[in-house]
Formats: sequence, structure tokens, C-alpha cells
Amino acid sequence: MADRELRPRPRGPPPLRRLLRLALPLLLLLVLLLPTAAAARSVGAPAAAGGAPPGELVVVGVVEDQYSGQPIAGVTVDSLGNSLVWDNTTTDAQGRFSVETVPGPLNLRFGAPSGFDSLRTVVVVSNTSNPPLTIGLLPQALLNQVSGATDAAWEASALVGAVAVGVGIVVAAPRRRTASGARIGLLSPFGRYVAGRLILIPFQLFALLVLLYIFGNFLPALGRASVSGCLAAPGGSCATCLPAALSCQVSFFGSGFVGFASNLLTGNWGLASIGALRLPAVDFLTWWLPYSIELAVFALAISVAIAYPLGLAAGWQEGSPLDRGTRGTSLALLLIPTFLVALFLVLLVFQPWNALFGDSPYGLLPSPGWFVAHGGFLPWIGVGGQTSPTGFPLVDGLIHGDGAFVLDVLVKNLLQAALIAAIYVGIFFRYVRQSVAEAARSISIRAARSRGIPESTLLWRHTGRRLIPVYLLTFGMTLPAYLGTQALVEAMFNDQPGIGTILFSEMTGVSQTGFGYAHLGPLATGNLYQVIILFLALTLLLGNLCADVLARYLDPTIAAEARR
Amino acid sequence: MSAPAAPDGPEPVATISTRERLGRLWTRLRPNGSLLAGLAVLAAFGAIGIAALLWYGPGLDVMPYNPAWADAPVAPGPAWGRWFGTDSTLGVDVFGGLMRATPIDLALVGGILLSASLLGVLLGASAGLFGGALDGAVVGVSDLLVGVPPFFFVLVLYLGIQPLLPLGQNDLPWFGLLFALVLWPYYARPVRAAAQRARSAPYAESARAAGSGPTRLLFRHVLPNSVQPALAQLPIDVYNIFFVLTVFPYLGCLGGGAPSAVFKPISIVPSPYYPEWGSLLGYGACYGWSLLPSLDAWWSYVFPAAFVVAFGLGVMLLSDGLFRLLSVEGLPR
Repeated sequence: MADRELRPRPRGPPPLRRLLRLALPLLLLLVLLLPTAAAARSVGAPAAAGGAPPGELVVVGVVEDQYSGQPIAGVTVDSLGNSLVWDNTTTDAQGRFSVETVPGPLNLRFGAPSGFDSLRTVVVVSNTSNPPLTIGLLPQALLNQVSGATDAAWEASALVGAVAVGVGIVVAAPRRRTASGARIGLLSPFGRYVAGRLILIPFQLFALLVLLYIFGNFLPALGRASVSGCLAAPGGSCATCLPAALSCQVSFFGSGFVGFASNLLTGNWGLASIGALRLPAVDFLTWWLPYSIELAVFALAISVAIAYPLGLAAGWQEGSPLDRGTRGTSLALLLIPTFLVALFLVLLVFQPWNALFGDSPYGLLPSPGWFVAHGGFLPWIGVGGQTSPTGFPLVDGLIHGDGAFVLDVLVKNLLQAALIAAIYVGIFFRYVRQSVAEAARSISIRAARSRGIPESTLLWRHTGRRLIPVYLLTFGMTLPAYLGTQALVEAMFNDQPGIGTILFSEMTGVSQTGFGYAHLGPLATGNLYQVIILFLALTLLLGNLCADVLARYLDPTIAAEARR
Repeated sequence: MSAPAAPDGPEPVATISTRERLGRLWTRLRPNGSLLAGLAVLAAFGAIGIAALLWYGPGLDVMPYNPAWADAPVAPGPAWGRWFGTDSTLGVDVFGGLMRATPIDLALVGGILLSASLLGVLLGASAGLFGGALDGAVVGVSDLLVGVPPFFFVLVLYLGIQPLLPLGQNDLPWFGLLFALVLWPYYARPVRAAAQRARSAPYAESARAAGSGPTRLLFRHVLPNSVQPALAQLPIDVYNIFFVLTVFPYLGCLGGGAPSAVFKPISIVPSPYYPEWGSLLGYGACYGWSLLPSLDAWWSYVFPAAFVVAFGLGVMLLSDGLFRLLSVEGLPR
């Protein structure tokens, strides 16, 4: 309801309120048609006609649509300071308001016209300077989107169904043996391996879900219970049982976990607040995932282009200057904090870029902040930096033929990808080097060498091909390090859309409010970082599976070795 | 230790004098330059740590605050008496902070690395050697833990248990414990694979045939031949540990000193004035960059970064040296 926290004055019978609500858009239209009259109301002027008694202060601010940034007129603003100085006003056509109060905490209630959610907030008024407030109201259409179950419920049930089919195949597969003892059945050993790995994934995700719930919600609740004396659900009333009783803890755990898991699985992820934006978490994820995917494509391409030849050449001769140099450099790059490497890299590019293209703040372009500072959004870019029609900024820039945009996004992607590669290749190299050295000493290579095949052919053609499965396995193993690095690099470029920015923002935000709190209002039922970590884990498990399966497909000796 | 030989009695044939033992050890270690260099670097850090413990005494864990440095627009740089300059975010002497931090970091990082690697190697080798339910448990748990980047995971666990910990205490031991619990699978997985291969290797079979029990087989035969693949992980975990200690204090002030609207700082150490390399580096980099293209106050992050990198290189050299030491001498593995 738009006005569930609002008690508009004068209090009239409900039909009158309904009439008022109808009249407000008309009023808005009227105000818009009379800009001169609206401009006459200056921001700093007190709203009350009587003039402020001595000792009172004026707090000014603007109310805007959280989603589009447009000002909202006709919002009633009720304020109550700490000495019962009460004020009541309405925003003007530019969404501006001003209220009188005294120093100290000031309760503000914003009763929005229909279509927006009301808001209640507290600001602390100082008696020296009070910067203008910016209040964002959320369109109700978005809130409905958050509280309803989404397609994720269908996706979850489809996943469960697929797993059930998989389990059925493996269980039902007849296990007979031939005379020689080899198994025959519906699935080949390879197929059985893939099916077995696939079946494990939901169980692993469920175990992770339990772990995330225990550490993100249950233990903090116990911690709070030891202070308050009762086990209470976030935002709920105090439970009747004592926190020390085991049965109480068990029932609390059970009921809490069911709610937590169902919210997470049905896409009910609540609101997320990143910088000045406070929006449904689903929006952030769907808008910013294409940015992360685009960056990953660049970063992985650069990483492969460096890691493959370098790993081969350096590992070929252990202890060679190339080997030692590569290892030392890679470790130094790994150990110098990523943000220092990032800042130096930006510094390297910043000056030439500035000289070539003038004032284009590096690394900020497709972010909402850049557009706000440079005269508004392009028609095909949304408030969160999401581009249309595909959502991938580079592709959309090409579709719209915006060369400057494409160039900026491209350079930024390359810069970030180079940074990710610099760190990730260091990790990758440490794992792969040993395998290269082992392959270099293998009997087949020695035999080939004795037949006079040149060393470069031995390295690049014989060993290089043979090591592709090993590289794949190593990639699967180092995928957590890769994803973590990319997330950090995304967060490092402040104001940069990307899943990493959301993850770091949510995790560090949680450190302020505490885990398990519904810290963003009644609709924030799940903690978004838990959702992202779950998705990271799913990506990792699937990536690992693909790498393993592909490696076994390319090199059957891996499977043979594992069976032995 | 060998018993000292009687001065005028016959020399026992089988005993070797301590000196000779040391001599043999030295002949074995001398060609292993990485191991010696790594040991030297870590021994230097150990010496600094002991000196700091003796010099600063019980007041070691709080860095003294100087308001004049904190209020200066650019913190005073290196000079006589404060060799590494000062830090304007905190208003502390960088050299003194790094010295005080050395024993704390050696204990913290060394403790995490040792406990994680010991736990991982033991569990991985046992799982690979004995198989069965133990193997299933180790594989299941480690697959679960490896599914999330370790630096996020440890933070989830640490912030989760924080409300249960008593207020006003140093939570770093808990942090170290949780980090070790998150990191052990990275050691257990490669060791398990190596132990599985070793289980059916001829030397293990002959040891079994000679009557070795499971404990002897594990510790005497399989373990020494399986730990090698885990050694590559040690320097990477130095990165993982300092990632958490450095990045999270830094993120809160991302963007040249102004408090970030997007990120909030997370401090793992009890207070910003608790001496710790990573947090000194994070806070130093905060205000080292007053504007993006300028490099003022470089000393507040370059020296702490140098300590972290030197320590990591020491660990890398040590792990390389151990790798060579554990290889069968002269024979490629």
C-alpha cells in the first residue's frame, strides 16, 4: 500500500482519501504546467508561513524516483524532531521540500502519491551545517516484482526434475558383466562418470546452503539471543522459548532454514542497495551479469594467450632463467595487493588516454555515476548502467554505432582483463609448471629427441598438444582463484557494474549491519551475498565438471589413472 | 642422538657423531639454493620478530598515535628516526608499525599455513591410502569447501561467528583457525591423488610385505612421497591470507581517501592501531593516493608491501627447496 505509514492531515473518511489520491496526479500536472509558480518556491525557504522561532533549523532535501532519478512532486513530508517540533509539507514540482526542526534526531515520513512506496527515515540534524537530503522512493511495480515468486521457482523444479531423471538412469542402468569381467550397461564408464558428477552438484549446493544459513543467519541469531535473552526471527517478535534450550534452537533452526531456502530458491532476494541505488536484487544481477561475462571473455582469452606458451616454455627447462624469472615475477604480482597493481595500471594508461581523448574519466564510462556527471543517460542505457537490447555493453554499443562508447568499454575491458590475467596466470603457472616439466622428461620425448627431432617441435607440437587436458584440469582446479580475482578487479574499479561489485558491496555492507538482519527493510528476506556465493559455487562446480569431462574425453589415460 | 664414544675404547661402527651428521646434512642442503635462501629470508623475519618482542615488550600490540602526522595534508616522509616515513590515515610510524607487526604476522600466517597444510596433508594421505568411508568424507567435505573462493568463504565464516565471541577480545586466533579450516582441502586434494598412486606403488607393497602396519606405512612410506604436490599451494595461500587482511580495510576508503558509498571497511584486526602488515598496507594505500594520478605518500604503502612480498618470496623459495629435497636425489620424478 502506498500510504501504509502515512496518516495524511486532515484525517477524513476513506472516500476522501481515495479522491485525494486521484487528485494528486492532476495536481502534479497542474504544477508542471505552471513552472513559474513552482520556481517561486525556493528550496531554502521554510515551508510554514509563520516563520521559524529562534533556535530552529531548516532541513532541505529532494525526493526522487529511486529507479529513474526523476523528482516526485506532491509527496507529503511529516517530520517530528526530538522536542516535538512538528512540521508537515509537500514536495514541489522539482521534488524539493524543507522542514523546520531543532538539532538532534529528526523523524521523517514520506507519504508518496500512488505508484510509489512510502518511506520512513531518521536523520541527525546538527546545528552547524546540514547538507541537502536526497530521498529515493521505489516504484511499487518493482516491489511487486520482488515479493512475488519468479521464474527461479520453475528453474529450481526443473533442476530437481533433471536430477531425478539422472538418478533414475544410473540406478536403473543394469550392471551386468561380460565374460571378461567388463561392465556393460545403459551408460558407458564415461557416461557413468559424467552422470555421477552431475548428481553430486545439487547435494553439494544444498550442503553449501546449509553452511551459509548456519554462518549467515543461525549463529548470529544465537549471538543476539545471548544478549537479548530470547531467540527472535529478524524483524519478528521475541520467541517464547529460551535460547539455551536445545529443542528451542532446533525448532528455530528448522523454521528459519525453510524460509531462507525457499526465499533463495524462488528468487525472492529482496532489495539491494549499492551506492545511491536501492533496487530489487534480481535487477542488479540481471543487469550486471553481462558486464561480468564480457570481462570474463576478455580476461580468459588474455590468460590463455599468456599462460599456454609461457607455461610450456618456462616449464620445459626447470631452473632456466625464463623459469626462475617467470616464477618470481608471477609471485610478486600475486603478492603485491591487487589494488596497488590496479592503480598503477590505471596510472600508466590515464595520462596517454587523457592526452589523446581529453576529459573522459578513465574507467567510469558505462557506470551510472559517469552519466549523471555528464548530462544524463544515453537513450539506450538504463539507470543501473544496463544497456539495451542485449545487455552486453560492447555488443549494444556496436548495434547503436556509438564508436566512442565502444572504444571506452573496450579499453577498460582490456585493462581489467590484463590485470586479472597478471594475477591469475601467476596462480595457474605454479600448478601447471610441474606437469610440463614431467612431460618434458617423459620417455616418449626422450625417444623422439634421440631420433633427431628439433627441440622446438618437441616442445610446441609434441608436448603442447599432450598438455591441453592437463591445462584443462588445472583450469578447473584454479577456477575459484579466477572468479575471486575477477570479482575483486570489478570492485576495484569503483562504480563499475559487475557481479564482483555487488558481492563486495553486500559483504562489506553486512559487516556494518550484521549477518542475518533484514537490513534493507521488510522485503529484504535473503542476504544477497548468500545468493551470489551460491551462484559462484554453481558456476565453479559446472566449470570444474566441464573441465574434468573435457580433459577425460581428450585424454583417456586420466580416467585410467584415476581408476587404478 | 648417538652416544659419545669412550675416549680410549673401540669406536662403535654403527654410530655417527653429531658433527658428521651435520656435515652430511650440509652436503645434502648445500646444492639446494632455494631452500637455503628461503630459510635465510624466514630466519631474518624470525630475528626481526624476536628483536621486536624484546624491544617493545608487553606494549607491542598497540602502535602509538601521533596527531601531528594524522593531521598533516601529506604525512611526513622517511627521515632519520622514522626510516620508513609515517602514515597519515592512522598517524603512526611505518617502520615501528612493521617491526611490531612482524611477530604477530609470523604467528598468524605461519600458524594458518602450518595448521592448514598439516591437516590437509594428513587427511589427504590417509584418505588416499586407506580409502573407504574416510576417503568419501574427505572428498565430500573438501569438494564443498573448494566450491567458494577461500577469501570470501573465510569472511562469511568469520563474520558469522563474530556475534558469538566475547566483545573486546582479540579475535585473530579465531580468524586463523577458520582460515586453516577453509584452506586444508587445497592441500588434501593433490596429496590424496598422490597417495592413491603411492598405495599401489612397488615400494608400498614391499613395505606391506615386510610387515609395516598402517601407521608406519602412512608416515614412513606414503606421506613423504605424497606431500610434494601440496607444496605449490603454500605461496598461493600467503596471497589468500594477505588478500583478506589487506583488501577489506582498503575497500572502505576506495577512491582516494573519501569514504566509499559502495563499500564499507571490514577490519579483521581488533583495532586499526593493532600492528599487522596487511592492515598497515591497506590503510597506507588509502591515503597514499590523494588523487588518482599523483603518487604522494608512497612510503605509507610501499614499505608494508615490500614486507609482504619479501615474506611471500621466502615462503616460495622454501617450498621450492622442500620440493627438491623431497625429490629422489638425482632422479627426476
